[in-house]
Amino acid sequence: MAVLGIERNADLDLENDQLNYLKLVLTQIAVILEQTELKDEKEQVELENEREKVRSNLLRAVSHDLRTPLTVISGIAETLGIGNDLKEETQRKLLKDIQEESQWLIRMVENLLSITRINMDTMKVNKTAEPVEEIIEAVYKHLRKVYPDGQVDVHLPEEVIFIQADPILIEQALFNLIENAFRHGENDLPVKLNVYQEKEQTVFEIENHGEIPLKQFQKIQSNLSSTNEVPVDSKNGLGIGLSIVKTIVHAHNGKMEMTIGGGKTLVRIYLK
Amino acid sequence: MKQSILLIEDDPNITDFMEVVLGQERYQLTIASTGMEALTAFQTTSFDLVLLDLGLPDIDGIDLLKILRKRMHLPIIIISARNNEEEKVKALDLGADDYVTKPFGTNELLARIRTALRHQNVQTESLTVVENKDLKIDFEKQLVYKKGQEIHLTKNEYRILALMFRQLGKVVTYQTLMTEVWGPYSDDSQTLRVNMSNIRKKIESDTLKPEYLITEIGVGYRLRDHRSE
Repeated sequence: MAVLGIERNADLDLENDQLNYLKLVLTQIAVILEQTELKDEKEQVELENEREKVRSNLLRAVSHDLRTPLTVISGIAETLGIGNDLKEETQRKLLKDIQEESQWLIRMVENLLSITRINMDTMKVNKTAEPVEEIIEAVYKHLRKVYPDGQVDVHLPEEVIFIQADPILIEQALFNLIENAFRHGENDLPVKLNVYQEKEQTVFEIENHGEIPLKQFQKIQSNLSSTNEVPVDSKNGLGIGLSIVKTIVHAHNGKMEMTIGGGKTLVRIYLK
Repeated sequence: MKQSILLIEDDPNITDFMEVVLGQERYQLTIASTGMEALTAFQTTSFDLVLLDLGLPDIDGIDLLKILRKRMHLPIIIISARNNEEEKVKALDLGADDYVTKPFGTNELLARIRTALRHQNVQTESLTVVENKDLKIDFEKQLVYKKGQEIHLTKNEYRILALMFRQLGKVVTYQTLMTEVWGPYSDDSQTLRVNMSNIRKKIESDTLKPEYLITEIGVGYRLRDHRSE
């Protein structure tokens, strides 16, 4: 309930149309107040949804994506511990598997930890003005380390562009997208990373050869537009990587879209 | 003579593997699993380098860093978790020489150790000319050359690069650079970043894969020390 008081000169009576006019103004104020309240409520609900979604994604990641590599690692370690008649070649291969699986685990944990940089009360991030070229340099270095043979064609604007962002998170998001492109695109062709400005926004465009299967694409599309997420492909981590990208972009008030066609898959991120 | 390293770390699995790795490289390794053990070790032994994990059971790693820095000049490398840039910045500003991020590769760790030890031996602070691969700086003439060719820098660009040369191989935080170049009250990191971008265009052949000025995202910049490689 709300009360509104209006002061007037005591000795003058209110005319009927003046009274009606006042009533009209009051009704409108009441409607606006109500709408604002509803909007706040809706935002609160959306925030809670977002939080819930991030939480459940984390849980799903821990239960699915982390379990497989852990099983492999502890299994192999056990085998090497007792199996003294293993061929040297087999042993080397198993050790390499341990290394690969633990590297994958490391990247998974990095991904999950990056989420802790987002403020859980507001679902926002701590933004600073960051030159795009420095973020891209970090992405490039990160990729070189993990995929020494992966090819990326990078196109950056000549002049320095700044974005308001948490640079660590944007680096993580771009790394995830390019990693997906490496793992699921057609191998021998380079992945393209284009950065350009469109109106007030900075666009990061990742393009790879090979279309992702329509079924997966539809799942991803619906995940991009709704808050109810269905697992896309928890076995190889595509789902977690992407949903973390989405969370990161969301926390920056940015937008993300995916298109397929002409034998290519294209992902764009729009940031202010 | 073997160079001696003090590793301050409380996780036995990490110390096990570091013992093997550093032993192979012929470093003399001492392990302290608490801050107290570390301080006790310093009473009896002198070390060439300290590896300090910030998460210790008995004392805040940052406090231990302050104590060590106050007392001695040896290189200190911080072992820190990823995603904690504030902590890295704090440690560097308190005088840590470098950091490695957990999980780190052994090659990366060994390279950092070599750089820190080398930096200790060959201080660039007192030199008038420093050469680093194709890049050369003459502090007296205030000139920078690449492959013998003079590079035209603005006054601030020169001051930034000179500071990076004095701290060759080390990470220099944004705040340190801004304070040194623009004074103690500057907080405009954008100007610094634009200057840095311009310097890179002048000294790097490919700014995507810089050979000299490396971005340490969220922390600052490092002028790569090619002499210790």
